[in-house]
Amino acid sequence: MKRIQYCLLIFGLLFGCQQNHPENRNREASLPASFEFSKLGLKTISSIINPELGTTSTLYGNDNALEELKGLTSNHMVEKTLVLVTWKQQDDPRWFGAKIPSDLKLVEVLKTKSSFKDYENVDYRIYEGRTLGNRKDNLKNEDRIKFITSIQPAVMP
Amino acid sequence: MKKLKKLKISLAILLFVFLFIQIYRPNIPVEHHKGDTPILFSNKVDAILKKSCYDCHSNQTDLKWFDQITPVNFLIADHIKKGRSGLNFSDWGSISRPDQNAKLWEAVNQIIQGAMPLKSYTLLHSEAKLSVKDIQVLKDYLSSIAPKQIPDTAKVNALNRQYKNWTVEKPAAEFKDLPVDINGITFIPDYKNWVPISSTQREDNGTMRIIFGNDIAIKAIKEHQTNPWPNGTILAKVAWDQLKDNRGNITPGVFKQVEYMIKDNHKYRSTAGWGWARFKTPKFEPYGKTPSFTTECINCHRPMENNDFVFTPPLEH
Repeated sequence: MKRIQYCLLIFGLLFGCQQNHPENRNREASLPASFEFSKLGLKTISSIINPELGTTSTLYGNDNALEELKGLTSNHMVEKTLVLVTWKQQDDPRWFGAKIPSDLKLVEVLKTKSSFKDYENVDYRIYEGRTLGNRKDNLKNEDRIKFITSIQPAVMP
Repeated sequence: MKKLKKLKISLAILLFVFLFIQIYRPNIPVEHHKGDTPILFSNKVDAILKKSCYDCHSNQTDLKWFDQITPVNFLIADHIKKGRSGLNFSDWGSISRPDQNAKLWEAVNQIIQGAMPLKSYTLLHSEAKLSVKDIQVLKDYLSSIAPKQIPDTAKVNALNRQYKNWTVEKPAAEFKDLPVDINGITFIPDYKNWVPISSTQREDNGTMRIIFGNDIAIKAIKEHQTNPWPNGTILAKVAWDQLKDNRGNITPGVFKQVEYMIKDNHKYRSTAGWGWARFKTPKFEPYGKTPSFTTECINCHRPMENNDFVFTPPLEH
């Protein structure tokens, strides 16, 4: 009897439990919760790849910023936010021929209450590294502001 | 003695039944080529495909003696039928060039992920197994045919036309009748307001994608519950043409399509627990002429069976 019980136990262990698969997650590319990105309530505007640097970026913004980038608004006196998140690219281990985000490199945040073309009044901040802890404030980086605000929104009908 | 006699009779009956059922054989149409067949890719690539894929993915099936024994041959016939319907190198010439590329990249990716050749097949046909060197030959060939991105005015003009229409036309959300595909899945215009969970640059077909997740998907990522994904999860993959600018950056060109994976393991039990849909062009033309077009989706995603059929590893925002 005991032998049968042992056999049943081994059988149960082998076949009874459903196999648990590991969680599917891109850890190194995830933004730290402390950055509170989701609270910004931004829309996705476009994606941009720099093959030379091997980076991929996604541009997000609030409705007002998206409107300005689309060239649709003349209202200068509303708050506009643009956020460009940049990751290092990696070969996709699941699809030969594809590249996906790898380590989080930096986040650039642009804010203005007038137009992004008014570079002097754009607040530009940069957060670097996996934890985005290295924060550099008030850098007058006109080239980056010009570059980021020149990204044309991707067609998303 | 009596026991031995009984055993002998049983064996004799079994042998008789076995021999009798040999009359019943499935029909496996096979073409035999005299002389050389035309080279489809390169000598090396064709040789690998012939050795490892052609038995089930061409009309030039080479049946071994043990493949022809009933009832095994019925199993083999079924494998071959399914294999040829998904990919048949004998019909290669009749497939459009973009579809040829897509099928070849998919086939090699199935091999790399170990989903092909089927384990049940290589068990008795060990010669079909691909070596590391074989796989490298296939990879090198694919890399050589991948489209090279260069600044292209025609692509820019196509985007400009599409962009102009997009910024002046009313948004899809205001459409009265949203397109519905053959399986009853309706186009979901809200995808663009969801949170992106990843992006992909596809060098194999010259597209770039953003994959969005609905609220349930985002909550699942936050709670580390992505394998399997909870019911109600919707993933939306948007694809654009790649556009290379003069600075060397690659940005989205024309919008090509949105694809959805909708998780409901009751409703979509027969299609791996997911509803699959693709809407092409800014007019959202539903893809798929027959309800079974989802077989294509599932076959391509099958190497991700242990990953709830999802390729994308999601990142958290």
